[in-house]
Amino acid sequence: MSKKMIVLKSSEGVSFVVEEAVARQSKIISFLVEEFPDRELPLTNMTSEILRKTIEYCKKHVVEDDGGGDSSSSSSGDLKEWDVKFVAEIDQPRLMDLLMAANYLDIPSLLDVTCQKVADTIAACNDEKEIRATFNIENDFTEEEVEAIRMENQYPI
Amino acid sequence: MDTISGLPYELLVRILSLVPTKAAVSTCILSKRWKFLWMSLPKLDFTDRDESLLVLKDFINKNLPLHRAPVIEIFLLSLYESRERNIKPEDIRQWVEIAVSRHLLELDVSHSSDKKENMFPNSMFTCKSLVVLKL
Repeated sequence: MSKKMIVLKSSEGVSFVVEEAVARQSKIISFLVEEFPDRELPLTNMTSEILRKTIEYCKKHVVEDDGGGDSSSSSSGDLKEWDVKFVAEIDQPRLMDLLMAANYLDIPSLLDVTCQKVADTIAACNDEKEIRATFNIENDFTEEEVEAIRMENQYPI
Repeated sequence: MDTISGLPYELLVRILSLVPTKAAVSTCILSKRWKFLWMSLPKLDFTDRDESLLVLKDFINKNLPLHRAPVIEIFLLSLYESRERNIKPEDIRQWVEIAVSRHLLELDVSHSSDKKENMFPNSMFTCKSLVVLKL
């Protein structure tokens, strides 16, 4: 039996032909496929690059539903390792885009790994200066405000 | 705005809840966007010992009553004092009472005090949301 394919279109208008089972890991797409079968789905707030990455993740995580046998394409240990590598290879701005895409498309496991990667990066910083530098966060406090926060919150700072 | 600060509030809270509590609280000094984020954390894990406990006590006394999370999923206190008794069972009771009032799901308390019976408010025993209790 041939697998059912669907078409996802990025913000640049590039079409991606994807197996329905792969795309259905997104709860939003799963819903849209049922509501609008045989339609191309425009994802106007996702660039081709991020959509490609998202599809790559979904392909790896798709559970083959062929009725019996080994139901998953990879063992869970291998998959975890693959996830870690997958997010490690993405630079900061793209990681944020991917996190937003996972949130928008409602792909819980992708949201988990991207959030975890950002959390680990924050936790690995030694102080607030390092966090600011890592994420390019602008300090919009005055010196007096910083001093006041330090006085209030001596516990962590 | 930089890309991380541009994330929606609930995603930032979700990320911070994966960071150890102390580090998560320290992000309050990053920028105005981050100042109160930690106050919505659904998981609070305070692990400390000896000399830093007075600072921690002051911090919890000041901030826990103002905590914004509608549900506290986990409240974990792991406090160890070798000699001094800066944290009294009554302090812990007060904190647990606040946590319980926020639909607490999991409570985990360990403290080097021998008066454990004074640590827990009556409301804890009738708390309907509580699923896990570790003492």
